[in-house]
Amino acid sequence: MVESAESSLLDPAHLKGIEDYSLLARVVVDGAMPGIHRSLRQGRGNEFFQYRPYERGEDMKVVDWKVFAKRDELVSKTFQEDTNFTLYLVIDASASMGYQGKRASCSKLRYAKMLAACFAYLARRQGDRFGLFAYSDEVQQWIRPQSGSGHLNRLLVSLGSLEAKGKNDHEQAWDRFTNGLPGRSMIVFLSDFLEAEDTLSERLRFSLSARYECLCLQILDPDEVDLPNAEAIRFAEMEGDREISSAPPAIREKYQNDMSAFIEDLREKLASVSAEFDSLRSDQELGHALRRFLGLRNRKA
Amino acid sequence: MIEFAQPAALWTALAVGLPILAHMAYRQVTRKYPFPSLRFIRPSRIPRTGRKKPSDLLLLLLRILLFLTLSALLADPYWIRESTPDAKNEVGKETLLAIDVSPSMQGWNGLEDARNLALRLIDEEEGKVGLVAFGQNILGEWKPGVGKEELTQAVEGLRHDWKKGNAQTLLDRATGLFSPSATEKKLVIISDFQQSDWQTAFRDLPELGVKVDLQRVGSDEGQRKRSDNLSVVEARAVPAGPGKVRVWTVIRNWDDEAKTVPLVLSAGGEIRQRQEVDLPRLGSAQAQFVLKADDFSGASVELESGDSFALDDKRTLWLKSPPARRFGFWMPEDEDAETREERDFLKTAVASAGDNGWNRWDWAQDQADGLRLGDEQSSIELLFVIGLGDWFEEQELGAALQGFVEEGGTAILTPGQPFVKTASVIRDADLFPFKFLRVAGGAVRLGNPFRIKALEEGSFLTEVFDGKAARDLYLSAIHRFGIIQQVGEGVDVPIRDREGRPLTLIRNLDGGGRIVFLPFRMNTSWTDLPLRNSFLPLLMELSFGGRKTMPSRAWPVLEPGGVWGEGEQVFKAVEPGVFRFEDQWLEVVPSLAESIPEVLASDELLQSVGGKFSSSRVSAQAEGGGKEEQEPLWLWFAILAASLLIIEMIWSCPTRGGITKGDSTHA
Repeated sequence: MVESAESSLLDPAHLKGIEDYSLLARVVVDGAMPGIHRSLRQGRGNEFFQYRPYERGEDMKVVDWKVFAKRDELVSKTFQEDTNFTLYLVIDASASMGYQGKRASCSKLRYAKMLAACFAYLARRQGDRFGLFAYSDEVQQWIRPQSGSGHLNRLLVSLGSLEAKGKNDHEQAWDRFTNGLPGRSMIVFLSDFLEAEDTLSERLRFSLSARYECLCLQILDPDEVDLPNAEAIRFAEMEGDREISSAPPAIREKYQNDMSAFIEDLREKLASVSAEFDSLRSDQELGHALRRFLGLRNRKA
Repeated sequence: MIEFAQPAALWTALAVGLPILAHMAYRQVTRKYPFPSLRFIRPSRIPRTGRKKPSDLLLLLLRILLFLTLSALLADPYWIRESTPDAKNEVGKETLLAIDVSPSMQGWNGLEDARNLALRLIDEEEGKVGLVAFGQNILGEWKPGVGKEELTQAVEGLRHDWKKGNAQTLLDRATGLFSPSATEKKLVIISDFQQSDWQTAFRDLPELGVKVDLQRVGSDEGQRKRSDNLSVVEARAVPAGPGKVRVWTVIRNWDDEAKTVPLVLSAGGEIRQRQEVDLPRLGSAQAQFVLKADDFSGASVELESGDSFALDDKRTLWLKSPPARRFGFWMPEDEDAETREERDFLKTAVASAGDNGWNRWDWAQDQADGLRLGDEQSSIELLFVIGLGDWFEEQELGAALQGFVEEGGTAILTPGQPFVKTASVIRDADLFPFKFLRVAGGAVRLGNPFRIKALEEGSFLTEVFDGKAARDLYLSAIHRFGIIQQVGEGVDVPIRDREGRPLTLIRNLDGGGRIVFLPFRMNTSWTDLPLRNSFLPLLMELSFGGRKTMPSRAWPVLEPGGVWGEGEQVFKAVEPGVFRFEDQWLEVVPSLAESIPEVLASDELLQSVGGKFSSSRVSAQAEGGGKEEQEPLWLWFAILAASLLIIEMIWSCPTRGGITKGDSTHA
């Protein structure tokens, strides 16, 4: 199949070389998915957007008189209208997110960071406020929601500094996070959600409220879906001390069944609290997740 | 062409199955592999997948090659190179055939085999061939270069020797028989390599430029066992009561099977007695025959059943008794009753000494008188000088007495009257250094005699007088004795009274002689010792105790090659039998060492003389095929094995990291 230029820009294998998340987000959103997002609402915002010719009947307050004085032409200033919608990006940065198998072009955390950058960029383009909460066994980054391009740059820099380390502690992190949750928000969880199916549904009960929308994106490495290709491996837990020697060919079928059952269980439990769920593979192109995100965002808007 | 010195070691090549099995049963070594969650991972048995990669097959081949190389190394490989005959070398080549003719070669068909082999070698060997026959000495020499006919006659005329073999004589002599111009010297030793003949022989002949080829004959083959041998190892005549003599024999069975064999006693040309002797395996048994004394002077004991070695099946011996030991007295001519009583006590005691054999004592006063008159040929062994006094000095007997004891005789001195004169004579004759004080005791002491003090620990007398056996000695009474003080060095005092005063002085001389001085007389007025049971043992112990064991009284027994006598006229033993030499009767018996069936092992022989070892059959084939040169290859195989081992170690060294490089990386 011939790959289009747009879809190749969504492939993590092509994006892995872009270290600047601001550039990466623009490449993905503006380059690969032009028009995917809703146009900006122009109005009485705080942030200048563009000049346009003055139209008769408009409020004279929008006329830029300095331009008129220079060019003897009436031009109107338009501003980006702020929404009162908040996007909160919650990223699991525990050690297991650092795994990168042979078949994946990047680690799970890198994949999550790329998605988060794109989500933040889209939110910025739509005038939403956006924030970041990254954790493992402690809070690594907590950026309160704000709007504006300066805030976007700050968030993207913070994303770049995230490292996969420590053992995840979903319960404690989410408790801290949900206590300061602003009203009318969309929360996007980016995690592998390993060992978290019970805790997650319990902690996301707030999403039953009409003010909140939750999107849980599970990011798994292809190896986690169907085990690495090797005849014998001594598996060592990345967030623990346990080790198990096993032959992947011998346990692959059972493993796949167990993993599928786990994902389905997770999906059902999240559905019970009205949270959206999707399972992604770290070798999967970003378009699917972006469309899922925008669909939910626009529906909320 | 490669050949192996130890081809049996090639069985170790079966060990190549080990690496093959190891490769087939290979179970992949699991590497540590970090993974996000072990929640759905279940432990499972790692399958034996074997090594399948091409590199694994190469490793397997490498290991098989390593095992084969080690196996070949153990088999001691060498390269056989057929060298073209060099006319010049053949001219300068000398071969010396050395044939062992020691008595053991007569058994086990050894000498016959040796003759046949030698005759064949004379025909086959190239270059000059010589011959040497050896036993205890070199018995015949034919230097390389003599004619074939002469050599053949010499070999056919070889007979066994009776003297015990000594291989060292051959090794010392062999190099001198080759001519200095010889370009190649080869010594072929044909022998049974009997243990007693060869175990001490040593000479590094290869270092002297002599190639050695050892040819064993007379070894175990078929029904002919080396251990099939019976030996008459002892035959002795001893008195068996009045008018009778007992012939006592010991038969040795060298085999590991018990046997019953007939043994006959022959005398006067006829078989006189026969009896069956049961012989245990690897052991000995005794047999005895009793004959009338004086009927025959000699006899022979012989095993009737034949065995592999016949020379030791017969033994001849004298039935005639050897002369008795002799003793005598020196005493004052005007002997008084006290002296006569002492002499009678001593004569009765010594005459009753002796044992069941030929050891007995005869009173030979004529010999004692002869010695007194200066006869140096006197055969007396024990001399009593009783009542030592002026007469000793007047007759100037000091020198004669000194000469007697210096020749190995034993003299016992008792005091005369007065005691001070005795002490003076002893000092003047330099017999004992001491100082006389006075005579203790006398009539007043009859009711309270002196007693002998307990013997000192370690004294030679304690071997006889120990525990209850000493009670009689300690109860003996000494009524009077001369008190002696300041005894000089070199004098033993084995007996003392309870106050520690010497009761006996002994001086041993370098020539084996001994002088004993008793400071009291051996009669009842001085002591009751002559009336006690301990008198005879005390007397004999003081005379001969503490010295080397007295030789048993029997005719001299020699082995062939032995010499008896001193000076110009000596007896040289040549072969077994009974012989008279002047007034001496001698027995010559076969060498017992030659009866031992054991032979020296091949590896010990190679260490002793170098060279190579081959049985006669193998040698015949090898020698017939022409000249071959051997070049050892073990060093090359060792280098190859070491190289393969190093490559294998480097190759099979486990790689670091996880499954393989690129399987996983971690952010």
